[in-house]
Amino acid sequence: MTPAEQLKDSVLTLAHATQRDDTLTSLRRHAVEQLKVLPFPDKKQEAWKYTGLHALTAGQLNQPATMLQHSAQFPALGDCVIVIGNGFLPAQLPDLPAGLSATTFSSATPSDKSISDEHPDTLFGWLNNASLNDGLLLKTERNQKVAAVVHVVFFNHSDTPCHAANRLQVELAEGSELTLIEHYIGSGPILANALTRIQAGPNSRITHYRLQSEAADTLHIGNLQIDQQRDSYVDSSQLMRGNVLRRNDIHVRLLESGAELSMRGVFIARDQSHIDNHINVEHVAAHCPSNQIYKGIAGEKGRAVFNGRIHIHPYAKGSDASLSNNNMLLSRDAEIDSKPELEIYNDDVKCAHGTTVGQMDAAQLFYLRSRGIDEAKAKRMLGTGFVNETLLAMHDDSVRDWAIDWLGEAL
Amino acid sequence: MSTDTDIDTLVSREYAAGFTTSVESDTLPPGLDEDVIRFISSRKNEPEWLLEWRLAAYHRWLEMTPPEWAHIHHPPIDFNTVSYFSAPKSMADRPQSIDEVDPELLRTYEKLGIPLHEQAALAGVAVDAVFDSVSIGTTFRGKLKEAGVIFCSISEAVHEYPELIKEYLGSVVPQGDNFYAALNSAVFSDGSFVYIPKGVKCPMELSTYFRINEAKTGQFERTLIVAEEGSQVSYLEGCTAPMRDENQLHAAVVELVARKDAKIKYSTVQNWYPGDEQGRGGIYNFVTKRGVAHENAHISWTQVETGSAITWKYPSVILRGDNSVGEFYSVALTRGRQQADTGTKMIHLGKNTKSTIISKGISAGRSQNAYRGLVRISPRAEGARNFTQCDSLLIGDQCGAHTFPYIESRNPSATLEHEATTSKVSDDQLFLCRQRGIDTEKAVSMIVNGFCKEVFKELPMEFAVEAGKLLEVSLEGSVG
Amino acid sequence: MLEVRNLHASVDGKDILKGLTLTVKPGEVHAIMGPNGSGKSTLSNVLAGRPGYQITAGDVLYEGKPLAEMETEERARAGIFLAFQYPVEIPGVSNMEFLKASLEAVRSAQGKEPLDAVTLLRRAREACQHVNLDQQFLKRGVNEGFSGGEKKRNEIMQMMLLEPKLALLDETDSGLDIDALQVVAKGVNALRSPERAIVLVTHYQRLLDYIVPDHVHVLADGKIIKSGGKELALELEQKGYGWLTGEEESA
Repeated sequence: MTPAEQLKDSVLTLAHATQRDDTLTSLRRHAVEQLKVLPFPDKKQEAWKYTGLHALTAGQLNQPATMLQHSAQFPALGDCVIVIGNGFLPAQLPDLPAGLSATTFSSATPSDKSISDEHPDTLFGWLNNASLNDGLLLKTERNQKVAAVVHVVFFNHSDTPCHAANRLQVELAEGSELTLIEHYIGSGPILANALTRIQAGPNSRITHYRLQSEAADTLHIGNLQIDQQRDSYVDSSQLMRGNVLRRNDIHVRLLESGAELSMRGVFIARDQSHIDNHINVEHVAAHCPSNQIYKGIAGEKGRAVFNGRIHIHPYAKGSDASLSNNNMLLSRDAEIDSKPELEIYNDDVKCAHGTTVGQMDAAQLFYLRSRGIDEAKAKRMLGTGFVNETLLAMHDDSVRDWAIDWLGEAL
Repeated sequence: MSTDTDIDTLVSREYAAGFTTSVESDTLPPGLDEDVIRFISSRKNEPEWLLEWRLAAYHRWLEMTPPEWAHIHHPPIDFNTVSYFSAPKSMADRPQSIDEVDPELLRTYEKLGIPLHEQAALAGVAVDAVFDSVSIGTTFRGKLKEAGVIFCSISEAVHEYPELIKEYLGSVVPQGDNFYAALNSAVFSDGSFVYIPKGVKCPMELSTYFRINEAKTGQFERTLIVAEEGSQVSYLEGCTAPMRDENQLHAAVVELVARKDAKIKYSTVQNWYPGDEQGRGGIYNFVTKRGVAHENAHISWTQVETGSAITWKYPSVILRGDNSVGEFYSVALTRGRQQADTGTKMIHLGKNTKSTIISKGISAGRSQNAYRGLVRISPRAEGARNFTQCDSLLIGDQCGAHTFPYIESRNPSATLEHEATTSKVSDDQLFLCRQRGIDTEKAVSMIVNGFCKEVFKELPMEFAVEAGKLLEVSLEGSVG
Repeated sequence: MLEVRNLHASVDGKDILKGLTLTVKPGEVHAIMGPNGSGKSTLSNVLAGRPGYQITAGDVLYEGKPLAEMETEERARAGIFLAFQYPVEIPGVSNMEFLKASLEAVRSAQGKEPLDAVTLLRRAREACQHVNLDQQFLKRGVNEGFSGGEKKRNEIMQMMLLEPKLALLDETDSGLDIDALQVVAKGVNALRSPERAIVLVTHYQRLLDYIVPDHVHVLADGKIIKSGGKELALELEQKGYGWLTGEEESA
């Protein structure tokens, strides 16, 4: 068997191991059928050109994670906290702020068809479906602004290699507003397979943070799908430090006119870590603006991969899309691979992307040192300065302050 | 193994099977196997080592599959429907000079605007003309020889300068480099060879015109340019083909070697037949172009591409020596149902290497135009720099423009900058022009020429005008 | 020269002009004034033939010929010049190249030989001098990176070179400081002649201190509601538009 075939074999073992009879049975079963026919990622596929899956061991694919006995430590960033350990939902969901309701996938009524109707984008998304223990479904009420910041913590931990399916679905009703922090923490050789879906209804607004701060020995393969309807506004920030394997596939669809997207991210790959962000923004409808800024840093033997695609569909007139990816390479053994893409099928558009790869400015470094600041501190200051532009654009003070410290530690 | 006998058998068998002999050409029937390669090699009276080299390439090719990553769509090519050799018949006994060339062929080139008689030729430009599979003549050879410059067809070079060919053929693009390069290595028919000795600045522009004439014929030319230490050369290739309903295959290989302090400027004006409005016919252009720049050397690719049904082409520079420079300036215009996936690769190996990429894509009609470029900085390319600017201009709402840059950096002292924009010819711009009495077509051509200016200024003078006109003609009927 | 009778016009399906009548004779300078949204710019764009501006009823005759039947560039070649309110940038196309193409097209329609390069350059430089525009602007892309005032002066410079029969100045004075306004006015006044008509579309009376009109018209809700001599402009300056439109004037 080739390595890909071996991995696929493991995936199917896991999928079978997690089959059981409950309300999600058909969701899992359908996914298993898909897994049988889908090709397993390898470097020949354009989407996996720069990221190998050699860090994955069989256990991370075929051993389902078990329920955690101890509680997680995490910073207080939100007002309403929901902790999900190794993919198991708490027996009792906390009290929720006005305008927001929460249910589990397993107890959702058949009218919540969206859970099963939408197909995952990726093989790991299907694996999430196939091995799903349960998922969290958040819904806002029409024309309600949820005043409290909702902090959903996905805590994944195991001492042995295993797989945890993390799942979140957010449905914003027309005219509603929400601030949501998705926070991934944990340690040990566990693979967090995280699938989050956000459906922004007409005229709704969400401020969204996806924070990935697991320990370096944890693996994370994530999938974020955002669908935007008429006049909705999505502001999404993704912050991450590296670990042994981190891969994010982010797919945004601007489905109706007037939908606006503002996305930013910071990724810092130090030591031996590997980070791969694949972003695909599709302008399906006319007159949608999108703006993306991603900042990357790679040091020591770290490797950062960035692929940002803007896809303008034939009817998406008046699209205004921009993407910039600026990177800083700190060491000889580190690597940055950046691939911004524009795919445009309409002439009435304004699109631009820019990428830079550079290093710390020697003159700036010298200036700081000449004022008595030691080299390490000076580098940290310059690194922080480099990512600060992105961090300062984030709305929420508590997340921003935490992120500046947390990312600063990695610089 | 008795090659001669095999060839004889093949030739007589082919005659018996109906060896296609039209009035003008000897064309090998379609299909590719070892015998075809042996035939080509024997027809060109090649030495044994070259036949072996071709056969090795063929065997590599058999194991390879066509690349699928490009943003192009076409039915699979049946390589057994292509004829791999076609020669104007009157060339069978090679003419010794241009004056002996069949006047019909010379007229063909005159129609293309390339007079091959030296008295009528463009002043200061030496021309090699390749018709289907063979070179029909090279002008100004005498004058070049005085300067020590070798400019001849690659077939001649195999006989006259075997050591040079042996040393450099495949040294930049190895036989098994990619599917189409392997095919070319197996069946290449002719092409140009240029050698500039140490310290010589080539006294005139060198130019090759390629023309595919015969139906169902592939053209597989191979160009090799070697610039020795401190030498300089500017080379231009032009390409045309007649209108034919079926697709024709063109799979060329170009290799450039720029030794220490040498400078090579390679310009292309490509106007292969693009097919009709419905996408019938046209050339499939799968080309591998690559140069190696040694210490302090400078390689510059400039291309203006308006033709071909499909273009798959990435002129590249391997910046091997310290302080070497690579440049890529490109205008690619697609219209009708043309598809282009083109760009460049800059591989930075040496210290303080520098590359510049300026790509201008113009899409009209229902065409698809993609830029694909790789900039790779190796760990030891201390202080390497790249600047890339890719701009796309859309005319009409049914075309597509795509940008796929690959940026790979493994040296912390390197600086890379990539910018891309996509815009359209706006209604407001057109209205301003029309209000000043300038009609829409003229206005569009002015805007397009302005859009391409940065690239046109890199072309040798004689051809910059030609390139502008070519765009104007190509855009006729695209607007309105 | 220009005969506008009961003109109705719409932009993107929205009716803007609702029965406008105007007669302009050679040698005359007309000022068309009115509050924002009254249809001033629509009138000049309709006359120049901007795509999207539809004549829905009425007639426009230029030298006796219906304008509606002429393409935008035909109108330009027949001597209609529009100085744009917002001149658009055309990056990569130099001002000089643009002028040459425009002059050649207009002259050839008039049966004139194209100007030789030396004469063209000389005239262009003179025109630049006239509007205080540095000659470097001839080499730059059309309006590319020009300031607002430079764009407006560039328009007048082109007008001087093209010597139109009917010049339409669409809010050429808006956004100009007094010095620039005087420069523009000087250019326009230099063009006044018995064969040429000039229509100034403006929001502000100020321009008319420097270019004295023969006729002043007030446009409101797509119609000319009052016409008079230059003293009408002064009256407007003092009283605003409200006393004519019967509404409170918005700022």
